[in-house]
Amino acid sequence: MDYKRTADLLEQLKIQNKSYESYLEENQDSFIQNDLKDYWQSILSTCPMKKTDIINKADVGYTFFYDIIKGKKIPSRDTICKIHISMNLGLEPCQNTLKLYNWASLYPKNKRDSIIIYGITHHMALYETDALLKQNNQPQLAKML
Amino acid sequence: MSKYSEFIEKTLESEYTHLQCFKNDDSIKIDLYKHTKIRKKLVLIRSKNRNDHIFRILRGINHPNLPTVFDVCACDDYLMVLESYVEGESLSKLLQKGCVTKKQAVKYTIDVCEALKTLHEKQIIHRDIKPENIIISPDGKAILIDLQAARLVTDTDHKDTINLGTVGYAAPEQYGVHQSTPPTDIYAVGVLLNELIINCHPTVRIPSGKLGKIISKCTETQIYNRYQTVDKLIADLKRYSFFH
Ligand SMILES: Nc1ncnc2c1ncn2[C@@H]1O[C@H](COP(=O)(O)OP(=O)(O)O)[C@@H](O)[C@H]1O
Ligand SMILES: [Mg+2]
Repeated sequence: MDYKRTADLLEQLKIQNKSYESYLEENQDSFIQNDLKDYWQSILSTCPMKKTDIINKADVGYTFFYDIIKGKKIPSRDTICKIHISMNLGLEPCQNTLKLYNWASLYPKNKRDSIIIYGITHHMALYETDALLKQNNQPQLAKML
Repeated sequence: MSKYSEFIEKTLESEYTHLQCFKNDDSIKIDLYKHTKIRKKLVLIRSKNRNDHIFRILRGINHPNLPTVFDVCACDDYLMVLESYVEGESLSKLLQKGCVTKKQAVKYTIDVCEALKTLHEKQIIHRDIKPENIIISPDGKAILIDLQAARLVTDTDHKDTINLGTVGYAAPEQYGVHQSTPPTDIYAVGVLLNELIINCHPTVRIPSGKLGKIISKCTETQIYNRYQTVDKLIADLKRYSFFH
């Protein structure tokens, strides 16, 4: 999809004799919600798992998961990590998703983050990553909504 | 189907015997299973209601007044919950038989409040407290079941509020646009206690004395006039049972 630049959108909004409705009509696809929807669609297409399997492995609520991928709800940093651990696509896509939501990337110098990075890069399941977190006295990922 | 539900179904088939179906309609199927070797009994709920986040929060918690959720699984068409079987008779049946004393009524209400305390701590509002959803165990404990209508305080979508909950027990705000909070459950507890003691709705009649005062404070129309937390309610109920 061809995204309009933010600066262009801003200029359009400033046009004096233009109704908001016409702005809305012309730029439906430019809202963040749609960006997020497209983003999730593309990332999910690279994951061979069924959505319900991703949900169960990530231990997130069904409705919450669908709201996230439709761009309707903003996931916490931990929830993004849980979904990525579940999808098992490696570290890169997880860092990209965190960036998209303006969350800090997983940082190797932070102890808890380093364990999550280790889990993702070693294709560990959520419960295995949580076990490693617990072993190192770090808050676990599961049950954090 | 999902991989995990296939696993659960297979395990139930190979290691458990189906004992009973409690309920089976368009929206929910509830079955009782028993392990073929050990005596353990399990309840499997298959529900169209997608509030699996509630059960995920409760999974693994052991509380004397709540069933233990063992597992939660999202499937394409429904939600699966595996929980402990609560042995006993429903409070509605005991009420019909007319064999609930005032002392027991207060004790059961305290038990229900203890269950609510744990739920509310986790931001979960039960929203369907009534005698049918309370099981009295052989040793006289009240256990609060049926989290089908439960939601988080932060769930701000109100569209389904009218269909859930039970008429009479639902607090006024459950019909409108207000969000469910602990006082929503506290209202239903007040209705419950009144039913248990004098077998009618508080809007019809309330007993005189200290218990009546407690019930009134639970069932105030204005949310802010009710008990705001179950802690306060438990304290008042315990004080009552100490002196009576
Ligand atoms: N954990 C449980 N232990 C024992 N009986 C249960 C349990 N869960 C459900 N039941 C039985 O199934 C019936 C219906 O379950 P409930 O959760 O109340 O669903 P509904 O939404 O249909 O009211 C209950 O009245 C009770 O007899
Ligand atoms: Mg019920």
